[in-house]
Amino acid sequence: MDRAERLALIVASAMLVAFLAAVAFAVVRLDIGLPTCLTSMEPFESGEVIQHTEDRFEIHYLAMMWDFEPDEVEIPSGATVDLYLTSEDVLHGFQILGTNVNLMAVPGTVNYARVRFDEPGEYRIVCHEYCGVDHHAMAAAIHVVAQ
Amino acid sequence: MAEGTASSGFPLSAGLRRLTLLQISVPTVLLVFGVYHGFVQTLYRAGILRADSFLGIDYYQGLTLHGVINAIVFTTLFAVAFGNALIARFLEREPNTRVAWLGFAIMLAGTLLAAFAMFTGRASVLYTFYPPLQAHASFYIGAALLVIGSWVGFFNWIPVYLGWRRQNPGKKTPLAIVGIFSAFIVWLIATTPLAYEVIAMLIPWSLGWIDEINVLLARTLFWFFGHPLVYFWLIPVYVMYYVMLPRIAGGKLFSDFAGRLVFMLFIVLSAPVGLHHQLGDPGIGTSWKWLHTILTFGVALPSLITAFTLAASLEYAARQNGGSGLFGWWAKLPYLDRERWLFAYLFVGLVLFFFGGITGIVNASYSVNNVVHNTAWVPAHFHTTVGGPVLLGFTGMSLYLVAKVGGKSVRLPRLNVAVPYLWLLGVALFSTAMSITGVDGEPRRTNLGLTYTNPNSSLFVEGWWTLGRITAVGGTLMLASMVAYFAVFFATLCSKRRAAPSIDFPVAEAYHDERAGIVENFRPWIVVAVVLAVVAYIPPLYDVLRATFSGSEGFSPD
Amino acid sequence: MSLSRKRGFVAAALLVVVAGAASDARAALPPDESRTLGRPVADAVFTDAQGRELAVRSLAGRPVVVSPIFTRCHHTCPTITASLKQAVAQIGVPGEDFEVLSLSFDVADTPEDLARFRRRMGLPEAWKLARAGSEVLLPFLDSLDFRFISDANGGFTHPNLVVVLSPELSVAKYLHGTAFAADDLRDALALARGEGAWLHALGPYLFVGGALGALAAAFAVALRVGRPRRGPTPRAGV
Repeated sequence: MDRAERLALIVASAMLVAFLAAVAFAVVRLDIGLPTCLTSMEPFESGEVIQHTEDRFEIHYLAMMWDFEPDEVEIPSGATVDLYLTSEDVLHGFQILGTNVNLMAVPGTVNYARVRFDEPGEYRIVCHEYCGVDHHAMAAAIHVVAQ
Repeated sequence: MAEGTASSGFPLSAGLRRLTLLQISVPTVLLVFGVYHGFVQTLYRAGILRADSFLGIDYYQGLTLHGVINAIVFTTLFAVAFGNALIARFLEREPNTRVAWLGFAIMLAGTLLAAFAMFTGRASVLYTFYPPLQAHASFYIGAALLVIGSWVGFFNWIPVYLGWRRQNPGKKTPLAIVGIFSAFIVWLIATTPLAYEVIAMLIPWSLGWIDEINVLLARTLFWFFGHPLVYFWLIPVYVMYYVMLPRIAGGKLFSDFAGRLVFMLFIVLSAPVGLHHQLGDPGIGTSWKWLHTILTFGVALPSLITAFTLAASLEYAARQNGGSGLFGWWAKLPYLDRERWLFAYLFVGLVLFFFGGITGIVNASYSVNNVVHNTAWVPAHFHTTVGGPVLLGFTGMSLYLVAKVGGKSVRLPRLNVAVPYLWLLGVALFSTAMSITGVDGEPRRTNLGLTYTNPNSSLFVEGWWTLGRITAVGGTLMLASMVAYFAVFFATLCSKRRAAPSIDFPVAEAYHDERAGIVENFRPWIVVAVVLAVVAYIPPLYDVLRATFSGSEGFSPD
Repeated sequence: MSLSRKRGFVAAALLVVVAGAASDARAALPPDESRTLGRPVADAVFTDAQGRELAVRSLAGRPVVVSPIFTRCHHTCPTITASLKQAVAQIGVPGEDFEVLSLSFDVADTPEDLARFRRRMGLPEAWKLARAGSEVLLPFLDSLDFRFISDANGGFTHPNLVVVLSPELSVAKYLHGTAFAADDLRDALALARGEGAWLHALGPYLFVGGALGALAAAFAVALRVGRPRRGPTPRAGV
């Protein structure tokens, strides 16, 4: 193997390892993770907002053609929310703009993410998976009010 | 066009010649529709078209046509035709013409069935056809036939290859053959779970023989197929890059070994990476998502090797052409050479793929994917991969084959050499704008014009609307480029025959021509590929089955 | 079929089984142990079954087995508690050798509910039962990374586990499942006391090393299987 070629191979591998290390750092140190496998949570049949304490919420989002339930939620800034998501019909997407929450709603299963809303404002939720003729109108919002 | 090496041209039989011309022309005609629907989408997304449908075709119907035709039908039909030509030229024996026709007939039947379903609005389920959105059974049956036909095309080459190995003991398999075989080995591995999804799940379900299917399982099987699919597109272009591009540029391939290694690595690493399309999915453990992330970074390695090898090959060519200096040699490549026009197609593809590779690594980066998953960033990415090197390689080679096999000379040469640059400009605008709005959360495959880019809608987002204009300008330039291409292609196809039809390619010699060694035979690599795919997929499939509580009946998109 | 080929299949099958088993270890919303192991738990003051205050701090000095439950739970919590009771009876005396705390994560549970639960399960007096309001409960559960989900019937979906704390009240070990072997609990308590911690610390490295070794072996076998045999006539490889 040519010397330059070997060098290129080493540099390329090192680059990939460095990228992976950066991703691992984000996961371990910054706590930016991905949804995992939930095996004992049966899909729920209605959306719900459950408040545990002043700053702890549990929201069950039910996605359907072409709406989210609940579609408007108000919470105080600094609140930590456990989000559960399922779909009662087809696949839907669920992205909260301005956060790292980006989930798929898959019928028959439950998805999960924990998120803390520090900044007050309107957080828009967009369905980003094609789900039928009115897909482009499927949206919701979380209003975070200053505390 | 540059003539090949010593053995110039392989005379094709009339049967294979007709088949090749047909198998290239049919997908090109279909591509006209695919391109049109792509262009119209940029108008919808920019909010210029604020409607459910335009000229009788619904937005999501058009989007389905755009994806299925451009990404599945055009690519698959072309890849088999290209493979037939490579086999004939490099192994100097034609694959069985009747079987080749049979394969094409099956693929065509499948295409027509699926086209019927799509054009009549019975299959507006997009090219990923995720259940439980349900299409007419003819759509799934058509897809299955298309895949089966491509298998027939591939199996037809195997006896020719084995015969060549017997007759040429100790000789290295031509690099082009290694490449096209690896593309179809990847394809075979990838389409096996797809065949299960379509034949065992979707077809009986759409016919009403079974009521419910496991949606997440179908989705996981689809992505087992969906990612290797992109290598099935890419590897034939890599064949053009390794075997032909250095020669067209006037030089040599820097390393023959690198090429072989890259193709073998693709066989091994294409399949066990599909979960990086499902990082936001429930029902799959994070350990497996992480494993697939690591393996996806692994499959970036062959492309990084390629980047080096091709840059080195081009530098060698440029210095042969009289280039000098650290960077000065870049000026000595035949960018606008009307005789060597294929260089422009392939080179522009490389430029786009530089960005496609970087954005691809972003997509696969585990939780970074949260920022871009299913946003406009994703189409911005793949229009620099499948819409970059793959489209330009496949259209360029289609034109080349039609000219060679038909014994014609390329018409409108001045326009022809402008096609890739116009495309580059269009994609640059299109992808830049969509990358920005994508990071901002603009969803992909969504009729934005009715809501997000409609100033009268409560969902209106001004930033997406503004940048949507640039996307539309990009889309218009891309359309212009393709219109120019179609003009050149059909003018060439319909022109008079000027030379004896034969099949030949520019073939680059190797600058470093080492012993093939461990990359001589496919078998060990196939074994490792299958083991790796099984190990990487059994646990997530087990997760999927445990996490799914209920099956799904079919839903119509409306 | 040659011997080496058989070996290849066996190796592949083994890998699949190992991977499958590793995947099975995860239950619903499993705690992220990498964030909690070795870290002190949050200080909290609960209410016990007699309605008295029970400070977590007061349990320091002995290892503590924390079992998150709720009293209306029909399925797993009674099973967990019964199994834990059996294991505990075999290895020592609660309140002397170690502490056991069944902690309700249902804010609707009252001290009376806890007392009833004690009677129903036949738990000894030294076995502590406690409840708390959300403001106190959640920070404590967070320090165990124990997450539960409210369901539509007022019940919860929750991971099945007990947590063993060190005498200094930091998280030492999770035992997952609904049934606990006395030996496992004994080992966990020993670990919590700091016995054999180095061996335990080595465990993950041994596992990763073993897994990598197995993977390398599988590939070596696979490459061997795939290599074309050398014969008198050159044979076409595929």
